[in-house]
Amino acid sequence: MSGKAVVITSGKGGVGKTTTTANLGAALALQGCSVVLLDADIGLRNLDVVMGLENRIVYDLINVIDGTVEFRKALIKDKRVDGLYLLPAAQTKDKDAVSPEQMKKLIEDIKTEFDYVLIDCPAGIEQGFLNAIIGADEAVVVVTPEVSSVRDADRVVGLLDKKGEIPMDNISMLVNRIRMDMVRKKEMLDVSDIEELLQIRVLGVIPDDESVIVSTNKGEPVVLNGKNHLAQAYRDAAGRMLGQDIPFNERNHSFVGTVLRFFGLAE
Amino acid sequence: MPDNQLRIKGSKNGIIIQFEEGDLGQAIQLLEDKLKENPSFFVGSQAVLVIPEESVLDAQILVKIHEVLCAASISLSEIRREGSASVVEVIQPPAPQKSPSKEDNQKLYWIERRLRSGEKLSVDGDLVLIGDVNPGAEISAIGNILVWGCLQGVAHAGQSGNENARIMALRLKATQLRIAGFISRSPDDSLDPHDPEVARVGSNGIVIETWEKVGKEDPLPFWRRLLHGRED
Ligand SMILES: Nc1ncnc2c1ncn2[C@@H]1O[C@H](COP(=O)(O)OP(=O)(O)OP(=O)(O)O)[C@@H](O)[C@H]1O
Ligand SMILES: [Mg+2]
Repeated sequence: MSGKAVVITSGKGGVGKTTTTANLGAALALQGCSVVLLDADIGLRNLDVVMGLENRIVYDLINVIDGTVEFRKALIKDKRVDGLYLLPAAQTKDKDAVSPEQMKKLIEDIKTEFDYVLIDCPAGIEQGFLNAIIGADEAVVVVTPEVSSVRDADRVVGLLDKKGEIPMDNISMLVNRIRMDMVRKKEMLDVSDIEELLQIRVLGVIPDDESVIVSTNKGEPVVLNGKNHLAQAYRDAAGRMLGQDIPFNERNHSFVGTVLRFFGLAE
Repeated sequence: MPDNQLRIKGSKNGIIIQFEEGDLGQAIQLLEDKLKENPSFFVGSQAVLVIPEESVLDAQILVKIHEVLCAASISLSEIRREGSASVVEVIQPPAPQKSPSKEDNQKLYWIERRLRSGEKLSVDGDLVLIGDVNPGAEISAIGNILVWGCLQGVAHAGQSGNENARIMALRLKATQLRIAGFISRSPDDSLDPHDPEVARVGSNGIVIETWEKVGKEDPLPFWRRLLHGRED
């Protein structure tokens, strides 16, 4: 078996890469895929916190890379969803502890046993970024509707393409933290504005919602909370990743939809 | 240096020069050495250059290729990417004119690609770019610039001082325009332009007018040449 490695990247920091990795991964596992979440943000490490798995870490990425343990031994199984695993990052200060070749080899190994490896990329375009993209077959570029985020996303798409690592057709974007009330007032970029500039496929559109913060603090990805309306947006994105033809649900965004939801008439 | 980095084949329309996987700069060096060994062998022939699928062509490399081929009196008809039928760049010799001025005789670079933030493209002639120039990207040319797309980054025409150079775009929304030594930045209240526009140097610095207006008053030699070159 050979799975797919997908890097979740953005250029700009704090736009939601880690949140996206956790939720897309959980959504893919809910659809029956076996998934490894690989935290490539070496030195910072927070995918485990977002997943609520921090207290179960015994081994990390560096222990696997330097041969102390096999990767299977370092994987932490998520007990809430079948087939979901985390390979945590090390909190070492040494950014050069991992080489691109080692990273590539590790991802190849994991791919032989799992359907998906989702790689949580660090911010920026330095060595950590290069390590995170080297073994990836596909990329999801997370972008928020802000000029600076879109600019960085554009730069990252150019780099993914130029290095020949990931073909343009395998690069998609996930628009995070959109606020339809602001878009309607023309105070915020619309998805189509971002699409026009980046010219890549839209994998998903995630509204800005404080439930993300609540769930991050609880260590439980929102997608695991079936009632939450963001959960559907993440499930849709995961479905599109699996090649399902899922329309963008205008109802979720429209004013009518908001009113219906408010009165409990729609989900 | 590995010899398999470069292959030269004959074809009925001229020669095919193929660069294999690896550093383009090295391949060009190899080509230069080969041509120097047999200086008269290819004189006057037409060449098609085939480059590896994933290699990056920047202006510097383009200029170098031109120099090397010119020195051996080979004319380059096109550059292709391996495994794709589409032509990356067609470099046309300027159409002959009755009394060509110096500016009319510039090299023309016909480039089809999108420039993303952080990317730069610079040519030593006129530039026709089929594609958008995103914010944060930069293009520059010794001669005129025509962007068949949306120009949102920085564009510099007449880079070595030609104040008659123009910058044209289907949608001109540049962050900054430069012509020779003149600079204009986008007005803060800029509306989305719907008509193609042209920037040129007027008596008070850079002025922007619709393509239509300028075309009527003052047909551009560059534009004429472009159309002419495409027709025949
Ligand atoms: N859709 C959303 N609605 C509201 N808040 C969000 C949303 N997505 C992310 N956030 C919040 O934004 C912050 C940054 O998110 P996250 O850590 O996932 O970003 P990141 O891109 O991984 O950051 P870094 O570059 O530091 O690794 C977090 O506090 C998170 O809770
Ligand atoms: Mg993160």
